[in-house]
Amino acid sequence: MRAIAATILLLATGCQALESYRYCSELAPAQLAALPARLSETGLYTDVGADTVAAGVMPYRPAFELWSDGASKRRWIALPSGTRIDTSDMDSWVFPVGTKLWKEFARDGIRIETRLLQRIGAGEGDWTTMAYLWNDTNTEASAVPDGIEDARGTSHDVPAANECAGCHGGRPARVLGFSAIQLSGDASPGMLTLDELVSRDLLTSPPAGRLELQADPDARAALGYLHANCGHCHNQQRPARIGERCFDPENTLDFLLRAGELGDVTQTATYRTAVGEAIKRGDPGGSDVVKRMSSRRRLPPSMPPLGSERIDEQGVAAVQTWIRGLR
Amino acid sequence: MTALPSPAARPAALLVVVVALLAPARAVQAQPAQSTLQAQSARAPERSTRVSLRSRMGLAESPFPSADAHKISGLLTSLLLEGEAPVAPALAVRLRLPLVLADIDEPAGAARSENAWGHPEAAVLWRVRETAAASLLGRLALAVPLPGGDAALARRPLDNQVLVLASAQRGYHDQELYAPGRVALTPSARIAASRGRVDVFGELKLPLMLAVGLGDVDPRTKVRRLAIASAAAAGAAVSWWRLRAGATLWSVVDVIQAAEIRGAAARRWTLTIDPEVSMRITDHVGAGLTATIPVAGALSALPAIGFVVTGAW
Repeated sequence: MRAIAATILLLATGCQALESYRYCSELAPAQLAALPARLSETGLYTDVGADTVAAGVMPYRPAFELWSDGASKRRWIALPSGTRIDTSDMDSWVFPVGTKLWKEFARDGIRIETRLLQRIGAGEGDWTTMAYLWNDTNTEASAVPDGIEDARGTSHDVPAANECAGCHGGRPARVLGFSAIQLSGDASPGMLTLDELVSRDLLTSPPAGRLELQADPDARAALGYLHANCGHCHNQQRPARIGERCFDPENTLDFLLRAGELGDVTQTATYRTAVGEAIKRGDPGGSDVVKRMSSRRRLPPSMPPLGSERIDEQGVAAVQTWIRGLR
Repeated sequence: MTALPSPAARPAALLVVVVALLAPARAVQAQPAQSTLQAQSARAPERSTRVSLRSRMGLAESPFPSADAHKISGLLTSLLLEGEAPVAPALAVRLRLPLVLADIDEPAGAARSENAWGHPEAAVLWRVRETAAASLLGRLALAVPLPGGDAALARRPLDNQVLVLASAQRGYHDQELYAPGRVALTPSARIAASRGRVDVFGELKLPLMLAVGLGDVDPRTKVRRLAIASAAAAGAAVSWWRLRAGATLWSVVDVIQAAEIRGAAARRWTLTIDPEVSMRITDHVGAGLTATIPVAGALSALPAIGFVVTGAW
């Protein structure tokens, strides 16, 4: 009978234990209360119906984008007046309290949601997040702290507020697509760049120049893709865990590009931690990275394990091409 | 829904259930061996006292009556502790206690760990007629939600998903144990027959589920005070040596839906099959494997597997 009881316990708890990495702590009431119920009250727009963005809100586009199942995205940042970003650590910028970043998602021409990431205190983890769901007339968006599946008749899922930590909780800065490396690319007209941040005196320690990976186009595309899509979870400089595991991979893989490692691809964290392990030289089919990217399974978890239901065929192809050329 | 601490408390919660099962089983092992294990016998209610623990494990999906979440899913382990004892020559009482341990999927891929008790149920079983080869059984059961935050069916899309998924995992044929915020009065009848090693049976039950509170109902969701379901089963089992194998086909129709999104079609019918294989380990204890496999209707093809442990004396 003890064996039966032990089996019962093992079976019943084992299934859940396999997926404990998916637990993300709920936001504290103060974090939820810090954000308004409507997007028009967050400071992004002066006229939300006319899509008129407020003064001081700056659009930007990262050099390497996060795959979001083909959604088209717009991004903005607003720094509190008179403040600067602490860039003494070029790989982990520290944003002033009150910083706001917005990201809008549209699918098939339908504007679905705009997410807000806002620093609300001086502590490293003092950020809060919220998604706002657009109404049918595109005149307002309302906070949806519980998220929504298949929003506005599309297959796009709006995340619950606590799910945002699944990606943003993996970096001390919490901000992912707004960094020295991500703003060093060739920007579209009107988009904020690293050069412009420097010229506007918005950085405490301006870099000497652009931070671009010195590599052939295949390596740059693949390593940039892994940086933007995998590095926020898979990196060895995650902040101390607060609460649940929340997509902490608990392994040693590191796909981040860092300012001091851009001169030689073999010095990058991906080469140091993944090549020879999850990445097999010349063998994309045998590389676990490609296998995980090429599936959408629950167990073993596909990559990314959240925020995506469709495989990024172009992204997979870019990584495959690079791996095929590795000798 | 009375939430349990999670997830660290899961082993402790399970231990409570397992110990509750094992304690009487150990005690009766010292008794004379005239007691036999008769899982799902044709001649219910048993003249012996029986305790069983049944589980279902696996991914579960269900339609959900919220405009913000038309479908919900999660990874569940649900346990159902059941005890039955005779109280008079033709009467028996039965108690059932469901427990659900769940990881509920959030929209973007994260999960919430939630544990919940289903509704404890007490039933009176009446042996209406019995011959050497057949029996007719009547049953009246009352299931009551435990105190807690589960009085409202449709307060917010994230409420009450654990019980709805647990019900789906069992093919909705035990809705009375999992209807969020509803007291369930369930009359049922069961007819059974035996010939040689073969038992066959049929069952019909009609849970009447009355909402004890409607909460802050989403205006896009229509919630009814009274919900009625009809669950019909037909099954057969074969016994050989210490082994027993059988299957039960369940057809469940929601006669009156508990809730639905206004203007949207809702679940009405579900057909599942529950196979079960068990083995008598001692004179008093048996164990086996079981499953619920969706065949047709509202559920997608997500089978749940489980174990069953029974004790009798």
